[in-house]
Amino acid sequence: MEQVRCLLALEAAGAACSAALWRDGRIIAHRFAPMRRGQSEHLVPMIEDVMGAADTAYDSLDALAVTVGPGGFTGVRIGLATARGLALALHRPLIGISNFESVAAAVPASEHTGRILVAVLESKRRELYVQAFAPSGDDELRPLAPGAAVPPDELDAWLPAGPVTLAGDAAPAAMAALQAAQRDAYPASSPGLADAVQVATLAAARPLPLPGSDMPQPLYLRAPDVTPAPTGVP
Amino acid sequence: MGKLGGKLGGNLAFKSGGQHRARALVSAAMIVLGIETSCDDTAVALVDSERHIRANLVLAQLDEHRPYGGVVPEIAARSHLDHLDTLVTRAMAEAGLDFDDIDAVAATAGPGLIGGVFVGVMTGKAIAAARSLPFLAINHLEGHALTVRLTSDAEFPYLLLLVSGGHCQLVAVEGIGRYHRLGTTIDDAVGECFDKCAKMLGLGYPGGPALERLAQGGDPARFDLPRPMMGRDTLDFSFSGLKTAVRHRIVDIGPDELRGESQTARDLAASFHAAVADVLADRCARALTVFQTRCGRSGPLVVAGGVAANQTLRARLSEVAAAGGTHLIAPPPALCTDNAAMIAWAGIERRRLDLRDPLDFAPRPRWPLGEVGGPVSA
Repeated sequence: MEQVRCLLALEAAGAACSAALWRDGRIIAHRFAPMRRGQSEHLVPMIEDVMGAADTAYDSLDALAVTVGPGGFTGVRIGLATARGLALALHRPLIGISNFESVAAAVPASEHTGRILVAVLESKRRELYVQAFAPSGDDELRPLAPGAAVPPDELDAWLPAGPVTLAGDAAPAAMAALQAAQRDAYPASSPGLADAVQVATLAAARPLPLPGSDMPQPLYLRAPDVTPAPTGVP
Repeated sequence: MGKLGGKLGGNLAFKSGGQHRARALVSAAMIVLGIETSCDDTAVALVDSERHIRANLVLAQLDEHRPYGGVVPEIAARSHLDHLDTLVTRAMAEAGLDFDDIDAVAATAGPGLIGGVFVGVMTGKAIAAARSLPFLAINHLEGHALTVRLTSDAEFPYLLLLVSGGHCQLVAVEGIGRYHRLGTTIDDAVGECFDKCAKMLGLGYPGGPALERLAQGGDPARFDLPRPMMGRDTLDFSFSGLKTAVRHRIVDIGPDELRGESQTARDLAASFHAAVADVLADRCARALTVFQTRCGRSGPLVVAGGVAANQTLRARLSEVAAAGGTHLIAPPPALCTDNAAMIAWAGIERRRLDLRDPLDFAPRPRWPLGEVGGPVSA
């Protein structure tokens, strides 16, 4: 397997916007800004800023990485469209990382020893986006089930039995729901928003997609709202 | 190359010289990649400054929206993301070009359904950044307004009738970024009125083209429908009253008599068509005199937008133009409906004036043509 030496990662699906450049085992440039909207304006200048700060030309990149969601639908697409555009124009592979993995990877291993690690993300609806990972011990994050959109009052029943550590921007909401269900739960100390730093680090450890493989797909976890356009038929 | 060179010697040297010159000629023409994702068509095109369309791909999402009887913004946005990168790759392959051959990237940045616009704009910005190319945030309406300069020798100024599902306006096009709106619809766009009336007649979605076909076998004089704004002093349009009148006729007639493209349905479609044509003709005739006063020449009259694909309306507008001492210029139908060739072309027009947009450009869901910037001296 060809070793990745230089990788650019982006994140715009959560309530923030970030870019990070990973080279030879470490992050050498990073920008992060929390924002609910405005990623379409900030993301590409932020990438340019990171490339400039790292003194790296685009054609030195071996690969790109991006979060695929779940998160805001628009943010998911802003990140993916940008990353696909870069991958296309540079003829480089693109690696997709879920926002669950990104927030889970930020949790120190000591905080989920013997505890299920649960990534819980804001959906801006009643449901929480949630995915459970095995307790620390493995080198890699090991998901216990695919991610899902789960109402808070069903969260306890949806999760595997056992003590949990919660990560992600919806951790407070999940905390309240799980405490009400008498579950042993506590929040991780790591930031709740996905960040390109984790995206880069996770992606650099993955095998490179083969040339010609499909682009990473968005992870929406919710069907589209079918409100017709304002200019559509009444 | 090395092997061939050894075998063919001087002959090859001559050949490669010829190739070199051919390449130099080609590169003298600016090539712009255009991206359009503002409604329900995902489109990518490559156009050069010599007015050659090198590739022009449009992927319609009709089947995805048909169950809802109209464009669903979130479905449209998802579909644009699903297809855009493949379409860019295909367009480049069809044109036989690589990103090294491109001189700029132009993407529709509004007005339109913002979720889809984001997909096109971000893809465009990313390609521009990765290849250090100028990025152009194109106003979709400007794309329609300038199409005629891609397909003909039309020079500024001209009077533009822009008629589509989202717009109905008369514009004096005086230069790049110099768009003076003379009139617009005060309620529905004309294409919207077509689609809604078609839906009421059970013609499905999008019904405009089906309504045009149905009208061909009908009597335009059978139903007396209103001609809103006709004869009024302004250059504005209104179509909601016409739509309501059609609804009332449909209720009066009853469903049985309108079923299965009956003669009554044809007559109603033809009567509707005649009303729309009369209104557009009246407004354009009036606009030509205003244009003459403003710009000092009689025309030409240019029609653009999806409704400009309607042959009946084109014929009528031709008559109006002739009566006004000028002529009608209408781009081919495939370049009247949404496409990316017009976006690439608008990019070429703007690059010729050395215009470009910053990579932090914020897409604009509402973006009147009059707010499009041009060269500073304009």
